[in-house]
Amino acid sequence: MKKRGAAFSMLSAIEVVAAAIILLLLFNHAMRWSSTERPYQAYLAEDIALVINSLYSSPGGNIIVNYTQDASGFNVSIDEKKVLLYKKGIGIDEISRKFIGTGTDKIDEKLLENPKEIQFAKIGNEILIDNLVKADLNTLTCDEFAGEKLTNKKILVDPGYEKDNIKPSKEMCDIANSLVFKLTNAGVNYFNIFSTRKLNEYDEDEGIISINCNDLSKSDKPYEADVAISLRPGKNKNTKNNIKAFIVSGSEKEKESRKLACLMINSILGNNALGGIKITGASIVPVDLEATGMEFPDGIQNKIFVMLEIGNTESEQGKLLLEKVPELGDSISKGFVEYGK
Amino acid sequence: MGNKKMFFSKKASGYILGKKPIYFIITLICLTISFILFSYAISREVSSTTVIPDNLEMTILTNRFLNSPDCLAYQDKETGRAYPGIIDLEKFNDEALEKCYSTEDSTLKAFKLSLESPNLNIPPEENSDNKANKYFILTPNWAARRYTQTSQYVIIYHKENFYRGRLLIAVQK
Repeated sequence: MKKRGAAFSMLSAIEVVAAAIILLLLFNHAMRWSSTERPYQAYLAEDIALVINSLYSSPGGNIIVNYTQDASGFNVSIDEKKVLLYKKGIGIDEISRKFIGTGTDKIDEKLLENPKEIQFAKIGNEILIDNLVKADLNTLTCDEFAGEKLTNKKILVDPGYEKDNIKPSKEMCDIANSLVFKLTNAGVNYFNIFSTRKLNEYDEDEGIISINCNDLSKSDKPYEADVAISLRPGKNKNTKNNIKAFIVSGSEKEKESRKLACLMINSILGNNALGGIKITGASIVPVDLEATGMEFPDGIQNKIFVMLEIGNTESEQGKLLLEKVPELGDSISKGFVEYGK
Repeated sequence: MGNKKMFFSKKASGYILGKKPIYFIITLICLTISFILFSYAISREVSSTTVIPDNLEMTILTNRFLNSPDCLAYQDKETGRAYPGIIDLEKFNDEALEKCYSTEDSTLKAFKLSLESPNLNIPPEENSDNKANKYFILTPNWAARRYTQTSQYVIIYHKENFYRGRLLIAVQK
């Protein structure tokens, strides 16, 4: 009888504990339901999914959206199909809402823990989410086609020349030399580098090829390049500081030129070393060789050709940009190397 | 006590249990079911407190079809400029729609888009059996369910010409 009594006591205790747990859970649920937190969590999930759907719907161009709702009470997890809001450690608190992606735009999956700020952005074909999105609104959307790598091609580097001035500016020559240096570092054979200007004697010991910036007369050596990159400074009597890439309209290599121009511009815009300088815009401009008054190197009609117009010699920010010689050379070279990857 | 059965020990040396276990099992099952139902009811209630107006969500998604060059919007190949509201007839097919609305989830909104024009044969193929000037495409999650329908006037681009047209938008959820 004693043992039986003990068993009943134990069962009663279990019964009381089980009832207490269930009551506690029900009470907990009821309390949370009666508070405004859960509906707010559901609202945030709906709202964020709607913002992402809107970004997918935007017709090209770059957008940054400052999200103004306070989501700091939750962890916000976004993957390619849904947004999930939850509180750390409590699994049953999750609320998720789905959104509908596209085959062309990629979403950057992200987990933001108790975010005080959220920014959404659509840059090109990428949707970015972060506390503070680090992206340049001027970034261009490059064509998707993958051309052949250019690092094995013959490359003509033209430091350019301003109109009515036969010689290029010193700063452009320095940028062109920086580009040549970076290209050879990236594996381009110096035998494949040509210039519209005279080159210094190749230094066997140091392995350096460079344009002679002290004697900027035209090169008398013939060149037969596959790719031509021309550089020149912008000159406008305003405060603009744009980057323009001129390509030849109707050229057999227009598509390839556009892609190269796009990659080089994006590489400049994405260079953090140019941080403090405000670049006001970027564009690719197709030009008709016969109609334009611009001076282009000879024989570029059906080559991959990009003329980069950088900065503005008349504006403060433009001048600052033109002083960033190694940074510009590095960016242009990275854009060049990116082609074909 | 005399009518209680002994499950584990005839000599009462183990746990002595009678009808109590049956009571426990039934109670636990009932409580679990109540708890699950209660949780489900709460989740449903919370969801219902935050419903996006149907029109808003539909407008955003319809804008995707009409405005995005990755969907149906005409894009100038020379300049890359997209023309919102102008439908490129070459893109008006299920593959293009799937590319810009890639879901097979039937819990999400599904669309059937029909295009009609008074002065253009749609589909335009000369050898097409379908001579009616109306043609429709479906998102991958479209199923045979009830739907609501609206319409919108659009411009149709086809072979460097522009035509007047109307897009019928059927939405299903």
